[in-house]
Amino acid sequence: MEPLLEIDDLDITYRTSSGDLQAVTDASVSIDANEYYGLVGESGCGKSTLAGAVTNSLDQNGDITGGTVTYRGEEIQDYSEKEYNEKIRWKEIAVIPQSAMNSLNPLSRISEQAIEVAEAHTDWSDETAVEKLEELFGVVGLPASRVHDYPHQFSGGMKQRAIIAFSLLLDPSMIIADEPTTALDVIMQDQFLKHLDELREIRDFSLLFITHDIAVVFEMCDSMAVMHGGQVAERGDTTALFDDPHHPYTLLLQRAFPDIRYPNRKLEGIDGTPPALESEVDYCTFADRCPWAEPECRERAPPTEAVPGDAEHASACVRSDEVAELAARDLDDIDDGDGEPVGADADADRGSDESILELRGLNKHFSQSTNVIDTIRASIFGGEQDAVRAVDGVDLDLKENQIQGVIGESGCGKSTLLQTVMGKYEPTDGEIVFDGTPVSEFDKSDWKEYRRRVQIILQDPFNTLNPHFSVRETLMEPLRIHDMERSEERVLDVLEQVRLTPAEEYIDRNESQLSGGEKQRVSIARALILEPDVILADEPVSMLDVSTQASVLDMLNELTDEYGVSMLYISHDLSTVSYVCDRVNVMYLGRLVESAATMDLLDDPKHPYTRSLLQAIPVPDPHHEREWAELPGTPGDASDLGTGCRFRDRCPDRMDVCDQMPRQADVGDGHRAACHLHYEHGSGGETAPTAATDGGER
Amino acid sequence: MSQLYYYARRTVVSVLLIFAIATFLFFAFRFMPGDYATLLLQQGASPEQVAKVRQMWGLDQPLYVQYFKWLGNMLQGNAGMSRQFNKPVLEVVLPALRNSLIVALPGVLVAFVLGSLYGALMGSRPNSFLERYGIIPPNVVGTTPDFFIGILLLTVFSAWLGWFPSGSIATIDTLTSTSGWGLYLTTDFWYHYTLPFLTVVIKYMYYPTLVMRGSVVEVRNQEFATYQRLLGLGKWRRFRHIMKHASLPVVTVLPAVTATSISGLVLIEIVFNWPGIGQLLLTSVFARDTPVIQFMFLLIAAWIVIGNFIVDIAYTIIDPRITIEGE
Repeated sequence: MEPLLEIDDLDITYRTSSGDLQAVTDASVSIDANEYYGLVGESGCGKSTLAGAVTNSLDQNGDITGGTVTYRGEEIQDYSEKEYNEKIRWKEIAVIPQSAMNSLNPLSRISEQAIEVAEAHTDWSDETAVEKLEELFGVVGLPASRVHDYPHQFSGGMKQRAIIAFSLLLDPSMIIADEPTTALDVIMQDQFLKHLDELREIRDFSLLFITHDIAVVFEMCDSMAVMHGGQVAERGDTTALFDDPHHPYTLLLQRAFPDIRYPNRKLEGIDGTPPALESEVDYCTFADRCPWAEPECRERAPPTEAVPGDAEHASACVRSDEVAELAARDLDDIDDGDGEPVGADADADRGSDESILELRGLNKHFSQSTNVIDTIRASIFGGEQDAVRAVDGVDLDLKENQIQGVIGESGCGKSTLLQTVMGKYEPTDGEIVFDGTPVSEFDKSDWKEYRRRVQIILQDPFNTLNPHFSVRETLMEPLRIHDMERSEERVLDVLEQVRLTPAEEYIDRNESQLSGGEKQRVSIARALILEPDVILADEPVSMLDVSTQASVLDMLNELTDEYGVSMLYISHDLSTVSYVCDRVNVMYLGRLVESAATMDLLDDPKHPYTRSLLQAIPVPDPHHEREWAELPGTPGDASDLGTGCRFRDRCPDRMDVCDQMPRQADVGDGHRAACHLHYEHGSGGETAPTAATDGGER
Repeated sequence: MSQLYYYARRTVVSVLLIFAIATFLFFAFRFMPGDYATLLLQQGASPEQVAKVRQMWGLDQPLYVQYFKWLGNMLQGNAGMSRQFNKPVLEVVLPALRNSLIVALPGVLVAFVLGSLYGALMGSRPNSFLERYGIIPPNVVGTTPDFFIGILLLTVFSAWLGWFPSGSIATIDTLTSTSGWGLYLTTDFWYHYTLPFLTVVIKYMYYPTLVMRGSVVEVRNQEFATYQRLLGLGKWRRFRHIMKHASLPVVTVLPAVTATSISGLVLIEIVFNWPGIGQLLLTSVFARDTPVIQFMFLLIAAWIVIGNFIVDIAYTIIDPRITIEGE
C-alpha cells in the first residue's frame, strides 16, 4: 500500500546572518493512512522543523534544500503558500498546535472562527460551517449548544477539545499535533490522549504526534521515529523499537525515562548535549554522546539500513546489529531490583527525627477585590467572602536530611505554598517553624540568616541567571550579600559538587555558553554555596530534556545524602517526585489530601485523587495497557469552595458525608489521608477516624 | 445581568468621582494664597473696598457655607460669575470650549486613526526598512514642542507659500456677520482652521503610532495568530483579528490624550491666536479669575472621567472577557 505521507531524504537549512545551519539532515519518514505515528526527540532535534516542512509553515529563513515530501503521490515540498492553501491546508492536513489554551482568538466567538476557516478553504455557507462544528463538538464530547461561546467561557480541557474539533472541521486525512500535551499537567494530558485515542474508533485519519515524551508515543502510536540532531536515528513499529532498539540513542532514551511502575529503577541520563547546528552535517550527530562510538561515526553520516527481518524497522547506526550485545555487556540490567537500592527505595531510611522546617496549619488567602467599592463592601459585610484560598490549612513536617515532595495539578496552590515558606508572602494564618523558632518571631537579622539557610531553585533555568554575569559572578554574589568569605576555591568546590567539571572550565563562562541542564546546575550551585539547611525546589527539572533530567535528579539525591541538606520539592510530575522524594504530599485546591512515604503512596494510595494522579501517568511501554484516569472536569474555583471535601465533585467514590470537610487521619505507619473512605462512620452520623489518633494531631 | 451590573457600577463610580474632584477643587482653590480681593488690594484698593468686594462675593462667610452654596449653584447649572469679564462663567467658558474642542477632538481622533494605521503597518512588517526606520519621523515629531510645530507650519504655509492665514479663528468681517454656531459654517473659518488642526494631528500622531507598533508586534506573536496562519486564513482576515487585539491599549489612552491635548492647546492657541480655552485659561490665571479656572479644571477632570467611562464600555464591546472579570 502506498503511504499517505512520505518524507524522503529531506534536508532543511536555516539561513542566518552567521551562515547556513542545517536543522534536518536526510530525514526519511513514511506514514500510512489511518496510522498514528510518533516523532520523538529532545528539544532542538529538528522534529518541529520537519513538521513545518509538511505544513508549509517553516520560518521565513528556513529552506528545504534537498529531498521530497510526497503526499498522496504528489510532491508538495515546493508548493507555494497559495498552492498549498488551495490543495492541502486543513482539507488534507490539519494541525493541533502546542498551546490549545491560547490558540483561539479570545475576542471572537468560536463559531465565527470556524466560519472563517470554512470560508478560507471551502464554499460552505455559514450555516453549514456551524452545523459541522456542532456535529464535531458532539464527537469530542462538548455540548453542541456552546459553539457560539467565546473561548474564555471554556475551561482548559474544553478548549483542548474545541481545538481537536477544529482540526477535524474539513475532514482531513492527516492531523499533525506538535507537542500538544507539553503545556498540560498530567490529568489534562490524560484526558487529551483519551480523546485522541477514542477518535480512532469513529474517524479515519492519520496522526503525526510530535513530542519529547517517549511514554506518550509508546502508548498512543503504531509506529515512530526517533530524531537526534536533525537526523532520524531509528524508525519503525513502536513495539519493535521498544523491544529491540537498534540505535544506541533509542535504547538510552528509554533508560533515561522514568516509569512509575518501577520507582526503584535507576534513571540514567545521557551525557552531553546534541551538537550545535552547522552548515553541513556529514557525521552521526549522536557520536559525541554515544558510549560505543567509533572513529567511523564521525567521518560520515551513517546510512539508514533496515533491520533484518523487519522491513519497516530501520536504524541509522553503523553498529546497529551490535546494539543489543553492547548494552548487555556494558549496561546494568534495567529491571534489576536487587543489589544496592536506588530510586524511591533508596530514600526510605533517609531523614533524621529532627524537624528542620515545620508548617502548622499554614494558610495563604488572596483577596480578589481590586477596587474601592468591593473593599469597602468586604470590610463592612465581613472580610473574606471572595478570597482565593490558595493554601488552606497545610501541615507539613520536613525532617533534617530529607526530601519531601508536594505534588498537584497546576493551580492547586503548591507554588504559593513554596513562596509563602520563602517569605515572599506573609501567611494569612498558621505558622512556619524553622529549626525550632517560629518565623513570626524573627527580627531583621533572623530573616537574613533565614534567607541564607533556606535557598531556592526555580523552575526555568533559562531566565533565572543574570545574562550579564559569568558563573563566577553568579556564585560570588550570594557570598557577598551574606558577608561570607569570597574565595575562588569555594566557587570551584561548589561547581564540583554540582558536577560541572572541570570546574576551572566553567567558572568564566557566561550564561549564554551554558546548556539548559548546565544552567540549572549553576542555579543549584548558587543555592548550595551558602551551605543552606533547606532547599526549596520549584519544578527544578520540568523544563529540561529527559536525558538531562535524570542526572540532575540523581545529583539532588546525592547532595542530600552527602551534605545533609533537606529539600521541599514541588512538582506536578509524580514520576520525578517519587524518584527523589522520601515522602510525598498530595495537594488539591489548597489542602494536603494525602501524605505518605513514597513507596507507601505508590503501592497503596488511599485518596481517590492520588489514585487518579497515579493512573494518569503514561507508561513508557507499548505492551502495557493503561486505563484512563477518568477524572472528569477541572479543579473548582479556589474562591468558591463551599464547606465539603474539595474533591467531591470529581470524585468517583462520592458519598453523602463528603459534604463535610474530611480531617486528615493516620491510616497507619505515618500514612495520612483526608478522605471519608478511611473513617468508620458511626450510626450517629459522626465521623470518627479509625486508625488515627486525631486528624488534627501535629 | 452581569453586564448591567457592571455598567451601573461604573456609572455610580464615575459620578462619585466627579463629585469628589469638584469638592477637592473647591477646597484647593480656597486654600491657595491670594484670592481676587487680594489682587485688588495690590492694585491700590482701600481695605474698605476690599472688604466690600469680599462681602459681595461671599468670601467672608465660613468655608462650609461657601461650599454648600457653591455646590447648590453648580447643581443648578450656575458656575458663578467671571470676575474679569463680569459675565456668568458659562457664558465665558462655553464659546471658548466650543472653539477648542472643534480643533482638539477631531484632531486627536484623526491623529489616532492615522497613527494607529501607520503603527500597525510598521508592526506587521518585522525587520523591514519601514519597521526599522519608519519610527524615526514620529519620534522626532513627538518630541518636538507643539508650538514649534505650529510655528513651522505657519512659516511654511502662511509666510512662504501664503496658502493659509497666519492666525485667528476668522476675519473680522466673518466674526461680526455671524453668531454662535453659524461661524463654523463659513468657508473663512475652515480656511483659518486648517493649520491649527494639522498641528494637533501631527503632534498627537506619534503616541498611537508607537503604542500600535509595539502592540501589533506582540499580538502577531501570540499563539492564536500563529494558529490562524496554520489555519490558512487570508492575510486581510488575520490583520483584522490582530488589529482588534492590538487596538486595546490605544483605545485605553485615547481619553487621557484628548484631555492632555487641551493643556497642549494653550501654546498652540497662542501661536495661532485662537480664541479657545487655552487662551482663556491663561488670561484667567493671570487675572486670578478663580471661578473660571475652577470650572475649567472641573470640565477637564470630568472629561477624563467620562472618557474613561466610555472606554470601559467600549472595552466590553471589543473584549468579551471584561464583564466576566468584573463579576
